[in-house]
Order: sequence, then C-alpha cells, then structure tokens
Amino acid sequence: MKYLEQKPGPLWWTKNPRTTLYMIREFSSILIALATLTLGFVALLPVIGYIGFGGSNLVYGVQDFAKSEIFKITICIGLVGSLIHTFTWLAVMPKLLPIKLPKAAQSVAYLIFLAIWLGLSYLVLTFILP
Amino acid sequence: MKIRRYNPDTQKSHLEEFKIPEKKGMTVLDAVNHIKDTQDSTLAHRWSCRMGICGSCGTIINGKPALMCQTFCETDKDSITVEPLRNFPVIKDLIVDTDSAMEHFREAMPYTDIINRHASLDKEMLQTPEQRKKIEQSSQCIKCMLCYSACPVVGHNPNFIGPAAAALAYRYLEDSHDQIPKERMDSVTQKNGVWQCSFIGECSVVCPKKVDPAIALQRLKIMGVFHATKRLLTKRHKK
Repeated sequence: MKYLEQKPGPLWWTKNPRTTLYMIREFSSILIALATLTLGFVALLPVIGYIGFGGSNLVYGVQDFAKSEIFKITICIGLVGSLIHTFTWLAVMPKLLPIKLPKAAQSVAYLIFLAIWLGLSYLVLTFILP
Repeated sequence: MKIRRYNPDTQKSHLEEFKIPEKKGMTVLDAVNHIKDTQDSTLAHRWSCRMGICGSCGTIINGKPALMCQTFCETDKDSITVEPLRNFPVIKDLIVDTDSAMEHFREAMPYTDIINRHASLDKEMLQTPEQRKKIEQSSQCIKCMLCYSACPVVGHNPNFIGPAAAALAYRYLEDSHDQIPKERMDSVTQKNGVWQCSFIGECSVVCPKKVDPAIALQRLKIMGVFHATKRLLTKRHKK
C-alpha cells in the first residue's frame, strides 16, 4: 500500500490571487536589487578607474552611461520595484502593531503609514538630496 | 459532485462524478455521507462532530481548504469538487496522513509545566479576564490542518513548524501561567522554525476558527529577535 505524495508544482502561486500578489511582492525585491547593482556599478567605476588606471577617464564613461536609455530604464524598474515593495509591506504593518486593531482601523493605519512615508520621501527629495 | 479518488492498492487517482439530491441546507459532509450510504460504500473520508469543532473533515472544496461540515452545497457552480487536503500524503480518497504535521506540535511545547516549575501547588494560579482574553483567539485552534494545506512553505518544506503549531506556541507564550518561555522560544526559533514563514497569509484566510496563525508567526519572529538578542547579551556578560 503506497500513499500518494502531493507536492506543489512550480506554478502553485498562480492558483490564487493572494499568492500571486505575494509573488509580485517578493519579485519586487529582485527589481530593487537590479537597480541597486546598477547604481553600485556606476558609483564604483570612477573609484576603480582612479585606483586601477590613475586617471579619471572612466568618470566620463560613467557620465555617458548615466545618460543612456539602459540606465534610465534600470532606475525606473528599480523605482517601480521600490514602490510595490513599500506599498505591500506598509499594508502588512498595521496587522503587526502591539495593539490589535479592527479591520477598518487597520486600513486607516495603512493610510497614515503611507502618508508618513510620502511626507518623508518628499522632504528627502526636496531638501536633503539637493 | 466530483470527488478525487485514490486507491492505495492500484496507486491510481481519478476524479469521480456523483449525483446528489438538491436539498436546502445540505452541507458537503451530508452529501459525501449520502454518496457513501447510497452510491459507493468504498468512499473513504473522515468526519465526526458535524459542527465545526473536531477538525476531522478538512478537505479541498472547489480549490479551497475548508471543513466539509461548514460548507453548504448551495452554490452558483454546476458542480462541487472535493479533493483531499494538499501538502499531505493521501492514504485513500479524502483521507490524508497528518502525522508529520502533528509531530510539529511537540516543538511548540504545548504545556505550562506548572507541576515541575511551581514551588508550591497549594496556591491557586489565578488569571484575570484580561489575561485570559490575550490567549482566547489562539486557543480556538481545532487542529483541522487547513492552514497546513494552504501554506506553500509547508508544501515545499515539510520540516517547517507550520502555522497551527506556531499559533499554539504563541498561545502558551502569551499565557500568564507559562513557566517555560525560554525553552519554548529556543524550540520554535530553530532552523525550521518560525523564520521559514514568508508571511503569505493563506493560513489565516482558510482558518475556520479565525485563529490568525499568520500574525502569531510574525509576532513570534519579533519575540524571537528579542530573545536571541537577550541571549547574546547574557552570554557576553557571563563571559
């Protein structure tokens, strides 16, 4: 007598809209990683150029690359990934507060977290980064 | 009604169709019992209380884990499909082997260990209504295994402690009677413990008793971080 083993297939996450949303959330971290690697590469190039080749020729190469379409697309992809990542994780935060909130209050808490995040982002982009 | 059949002797699985009478208020369990009584007595399924308290009749109904006794047959669909719980080996038809998942409950150490730890048993161990309320939700678990069936992590890693065992651990950690929190935290924060959870949340969606094991797991992770930090600092201080 043999039991029938049941294992999930590779497309298990497509069976249900919630699990699909979960995979999108997880996949957004790959988009962020892609943009981070690109930015890291761009930031490191002048350093490598200076240390390795004693000159700043690579700086111009970096500037050209930063103006290229590939760089812009990569950064946009990273931004989209960051937004998905932020919205989905902020939605989860109200459920984990030390005090147990009813569903309606959780939605309000989510909007408050979102507003705080947008406010902080605006401050950073407008006053700190420039 | 379409029911997933599995014969362990021939090791063949197929979907078999049956006709059931249209009766107001008929549950899926009533229909399956009707089929067994009148059409095919070889149909194997588990059931007991018929009122959503024993957790025996968990199956996949129209693709979702649910208790047969709590699901009514009245539906917009033309047919109802009943299959055995996912992520468990199927013994026969709708009966699955839940032993491996049940073993994980040991990791939760579901006891307060009062007899061994309490200096004197002459005094009552009182609990206020507020303290009782803290553990009320997580005490509702009926071990129906719907959460294990819904959890993709359990499907990929059977060694994962799982939602119900984690919720049970959380229940005892929050209990004011608890005497062994450190040992329990050590147990649930091992390699295949709470850290394997990815917070998909399906376990809480399917739970018939609204135990919310997903949140219990996340709270255990937070408690686990504090526990590990405390242990590290205590170890360093002792050195």
